[in-house]
Amino acid sequence: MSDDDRLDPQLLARYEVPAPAPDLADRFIARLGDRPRRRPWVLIAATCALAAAVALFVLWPAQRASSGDLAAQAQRTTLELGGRGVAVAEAGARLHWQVKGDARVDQSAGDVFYRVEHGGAFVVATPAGDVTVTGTCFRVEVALVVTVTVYEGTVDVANAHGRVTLHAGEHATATRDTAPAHDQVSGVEARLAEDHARITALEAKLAQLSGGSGETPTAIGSVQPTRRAFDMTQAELAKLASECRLPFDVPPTAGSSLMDKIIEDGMKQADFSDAERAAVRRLIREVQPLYVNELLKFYADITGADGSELDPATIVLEIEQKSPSSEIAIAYRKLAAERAGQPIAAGDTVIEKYLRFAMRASDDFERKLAAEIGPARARAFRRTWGLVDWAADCSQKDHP
Amino acid sequence: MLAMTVAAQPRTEGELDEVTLARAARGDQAAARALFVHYHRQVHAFLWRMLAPHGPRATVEDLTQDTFLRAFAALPRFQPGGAARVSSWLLTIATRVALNELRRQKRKPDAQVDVELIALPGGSGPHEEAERRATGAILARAIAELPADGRAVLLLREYHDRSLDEIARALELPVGTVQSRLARARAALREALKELS
Repeated sequence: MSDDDRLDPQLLARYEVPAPAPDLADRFIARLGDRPRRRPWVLIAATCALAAAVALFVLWPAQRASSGDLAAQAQRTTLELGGRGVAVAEAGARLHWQVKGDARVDQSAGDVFYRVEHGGAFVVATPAGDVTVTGTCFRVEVALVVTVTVYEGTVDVANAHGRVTLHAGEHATATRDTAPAHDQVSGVEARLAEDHARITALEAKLAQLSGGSGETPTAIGSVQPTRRAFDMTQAELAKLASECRLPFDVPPTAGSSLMDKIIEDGMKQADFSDAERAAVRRLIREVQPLYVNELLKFYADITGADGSELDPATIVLEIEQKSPSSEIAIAYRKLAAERAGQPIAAGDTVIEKYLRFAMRASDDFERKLAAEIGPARARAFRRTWGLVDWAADCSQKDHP
Repeated sequence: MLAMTVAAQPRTEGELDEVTLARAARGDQAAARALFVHYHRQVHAFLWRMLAPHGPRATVEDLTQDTFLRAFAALPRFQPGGAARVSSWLLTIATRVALNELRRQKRKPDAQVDVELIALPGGSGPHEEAERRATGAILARAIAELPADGRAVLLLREYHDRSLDEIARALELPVGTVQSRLARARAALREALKELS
């Protein structure tokens, strides 16, 4: 498109701006490294385990023949691969898959996280070679180079130029013209930290899906979904506080198709009558806009941006991602201690305010529902809500 | 590392090469630094002119960092082979960061104003130098007085040489609207520069 009316560049150049401070790059790199990083291995292991449970028992109980295509969706897409596993494809990923006992996935572009069940052969074919797996959790990114990161189990990466075997915690790169090789440059920790946001989202989703699957007590300190805080003893709460762990349940106001399924399953599990179901739906309609509105205020406070185009789960993720890790650690520690009965002064960081709000929202919803259908029935429904088990690194002794 | 055997050529002149980009996207710190160093002056200058006179130096530097933090969060999804140049993509993010900051400041009427940015530079010197400084100050004031969207259009076009299509995508506006805002902004600047004569 032509634009012949340009101003005189020599004239414009007279409006000069000062150069940025010489140490700006150093400060930025330090800030980049300060992004939340919470026990990535623990979370990833939990995610893999949860993915396996969900894949086997919740979403698709049996192996079956399957095939399909995914062509560059605009958003993250979760795929069931014929009972052989789960693929979480980021926006832009392109896949074709075929499962007949053995599974073959052709991944021509994009970033895909896989959780594969034991069974027949499972091969992900990329432009730079084949990734062969036998029961594992890994990620394949197809860009200029192909990068494979393994979280659990073992995979082989091979092409015409060579082959490498990767174990948990390792990653390798390959191109069409070069043999696969262990990547020695960036280290696994950096890659895991980068993956953490995606894993957290998946973990929250899986925790929600598995939240109604039982209330079996689990040992404090494990990474499995815990019992509800309201069921715990003071000693258990104190133990959680000492580990900076803050499991909390998610109110049915988060607003997503997944949440709709959880709500429906929960009402079925609690054996709700039509009148009780109507009360739940009425309350969600009443409370949800207020809930989302509050989330948007937190989002604006921490990003300066209008998040109204984002879904609530993404807003929550962004709030957490944009919060400095030191503030997250302090908030978890304070709230976990407060829940264990210790007197704590409220802070004014966004992450702390958000966490207080999230926990209060669940209590408020239960209380309002109890006013309509009775406390016992409201509590029965609450026991079906999803659980999020967040934890901070307690080792930062320099923070209060 | 074998991946480095791929020719590390930038796809577009002045842009960072794709291998460094891929490494930055995977969390390689040296590559992340290279990306920041390569583009941060451009982003900083854009934000400075967008925020003047409401942006103290510290704010502009914070927003420069915010721009890159957002970019790094989204970098794994950036398609190096796609239509957008990295510099345009970063300027798009910077534009949104700046517009959000201006909206935020509007909600806080007591926001600090850095008068340094609009004060006519003092001191004396050769005639040409004085005229250059005076022109700069007039431009700074005239650009600061433009509506925020118009200012973004003008800066992206005149100072950062983005195409009208790129500006339309950055601001999520029709190209026709970009053209009309650009015309108005240029007219305002030309009018302001008449002071010089």
